[in-house]
Amino acid sequence: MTLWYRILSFLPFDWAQPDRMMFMKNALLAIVLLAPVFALLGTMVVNNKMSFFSDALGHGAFTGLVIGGILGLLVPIWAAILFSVVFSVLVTVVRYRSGMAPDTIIGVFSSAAVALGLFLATGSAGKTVRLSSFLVGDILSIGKADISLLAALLLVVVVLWILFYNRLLLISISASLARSRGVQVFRDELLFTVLVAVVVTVSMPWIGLLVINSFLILPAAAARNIASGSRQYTWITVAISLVSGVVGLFISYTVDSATGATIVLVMTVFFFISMLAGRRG
Amino acid sequence: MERQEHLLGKKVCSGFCCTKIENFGVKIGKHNILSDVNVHIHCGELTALIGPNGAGKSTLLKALLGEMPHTGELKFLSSTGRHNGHPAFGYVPQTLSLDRSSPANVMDLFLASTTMRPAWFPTARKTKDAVRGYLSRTGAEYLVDRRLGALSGGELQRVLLAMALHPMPDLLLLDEPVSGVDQNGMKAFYEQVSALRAVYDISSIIVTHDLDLIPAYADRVILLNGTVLASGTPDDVFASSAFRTAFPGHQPILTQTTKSNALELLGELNVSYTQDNMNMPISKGDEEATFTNDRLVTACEDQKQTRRLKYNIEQLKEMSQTSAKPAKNQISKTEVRHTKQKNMANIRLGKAKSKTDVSRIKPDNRTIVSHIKTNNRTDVSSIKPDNKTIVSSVKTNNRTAVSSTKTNNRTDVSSVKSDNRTDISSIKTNNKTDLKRTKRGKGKPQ
Repeated sequence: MTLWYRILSFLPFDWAQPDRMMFMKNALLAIVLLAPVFALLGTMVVNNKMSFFSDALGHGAFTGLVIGGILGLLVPIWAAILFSVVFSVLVTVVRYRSGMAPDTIIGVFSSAAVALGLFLATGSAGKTVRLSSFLVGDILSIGKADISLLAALLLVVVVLWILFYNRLLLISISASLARSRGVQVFRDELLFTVLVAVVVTVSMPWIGLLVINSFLILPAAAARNIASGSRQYTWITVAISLVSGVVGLFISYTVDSATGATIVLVMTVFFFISMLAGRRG
Repeated sequence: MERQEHLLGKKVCSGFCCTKIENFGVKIGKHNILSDVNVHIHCGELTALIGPNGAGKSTLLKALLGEMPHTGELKFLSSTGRHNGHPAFGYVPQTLSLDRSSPANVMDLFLASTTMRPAWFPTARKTKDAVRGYLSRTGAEYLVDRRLGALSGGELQRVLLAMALHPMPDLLLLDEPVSGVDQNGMKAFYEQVSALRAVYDISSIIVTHDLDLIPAYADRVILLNGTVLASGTPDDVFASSAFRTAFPGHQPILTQTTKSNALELLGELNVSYTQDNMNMPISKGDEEATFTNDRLVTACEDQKQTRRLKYNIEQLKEMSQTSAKPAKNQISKTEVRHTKQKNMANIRLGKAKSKTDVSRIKPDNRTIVSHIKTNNRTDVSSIKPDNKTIVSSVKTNNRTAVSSTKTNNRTDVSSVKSDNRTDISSIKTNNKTDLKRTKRGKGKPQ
């Protein structure tokens, strides 16, 4: 952290001077840590056409956070993660086992989850829950402990991405082909789903339920317009995510708007630019 | 290493490696999808798996791959005689429906399925070159940087075939690999698989509905519907009653092989056919051979005639089998039938792609097999005539194996030209052997 503050002190901004505006520096670090995580997962969410599914995971995470807040366990975030993981496993299993159309199943679970979350949060037990912070998110309020959690998350995601990327890519191209080459499709997909659920849950208080899915989808969707090959796709997504995050944070700081929403707007601009520039534009 | 030697022609497989499917059965719920499936496949053979929809063809492949629980056993014996329960599988699925907008390219697909190094890491030049090499096996190296969504159906199947060939499998399973590909693409794909099996000596099982292409490319056919209803050479299976029941509307195309077989058998058995038993006059001898062939072709256009002819051929085969003694060192290749009789040797060549002209067969004291041109593979093996055998001007594109020819009097193996590989081994004669103008080419695939 000290190193981070020292690096920032070289920036020619007012808030970047030593011992000033610590929340801004923390927020910037959080964005830099979160952007690659969302970018990496997003590439695969878009590959697998899971954007609706990841939205449902977000709703599950929201409910998890509300439950965590109410139960007030030692650390509420762990209760929330636990609920999200159970929720994501449940949706995945039902998606595989039942013959119903996936969008129906996702719709059912998504609505049920968010309804439960709102029910609990607005009921008498949930008065202590900061509902709006989960819906809109407030990255400027992030603390040091949360940042170390995000750093750990980035580390875990990168390691898993090195170990599992090839398999996930093969599954996204063709599950039956992957199966024939010895990939355990269900296990790996479940792992990916749980990973998305955990990431969404951990970052929801800072980004907000309303825009969190855009964090996953937009950078990858923009990169798809211009990338050829999975390597380009991955790195362009990470770059767009990082640049949008930092630019969005600065804009929101300047005009005093919700950070998450501002970042999403910047990402949207990138998406349309890439669409016009892209080969399929 | 072993495979390398194999590729370089240091080792001859000659059908000594084999895959046995014994008593295979698959149950889904209470339904018996497959039961009592017994199949024996030699390496280097292309086996076509046919049958009506829902016959369990894809199920059999999935059971072989271990994706489905099954009863029965899969036994594999490698070319070195080493028992190895599990052959290495290569699998080409039915035409995949891919996301057209996916940024993944052919290189990504290859890397993702064959390496541990994540596809989003920079790729080493060595790896790239290796992947190009694997793709070149199916003539797909120019597609390496193409997005998967930009591939045509045929191109995608070539890429998938290249993937199935790395690592080199013992058994290649192709599940309707060319459904949805046009006729030319289909032929090209079959030719590719044919060429591969000859070069790399792998056994292939191909699930197909393209019955018309089978005689030209497949060595064996298995008719499946819950169990094996018929199996054998394409001609055998197509002539079987089970086949006619399963595919009542199919008009069999009489292959060149069948026609020349007919001629051979006629000569071999010294039977003259008249209108009584074949509805056409056939006389023997050099001059009339062409004429007869033409008449056969004409006659074969009539399906009724065709079936009748096939029936006759079956009868003739039975007769010839009872009169011929089994050869000692018989190498069971379906293409090669060796008939040993006292007065003559008959070499029947199957699977000639372009042209097989086994016309000048003189059923007296000697046999001349001349002008054999094949695209795939010619095995002239276990020839044991009593008097004289002349095998001349055998031209193949891929491989010619002239092995263990034993004669009592004289053997002339002359002007054997091959593009890839020629094995002339253990020729034993009592009197005289002429091996002249034998050219060896480089061991590279077509």
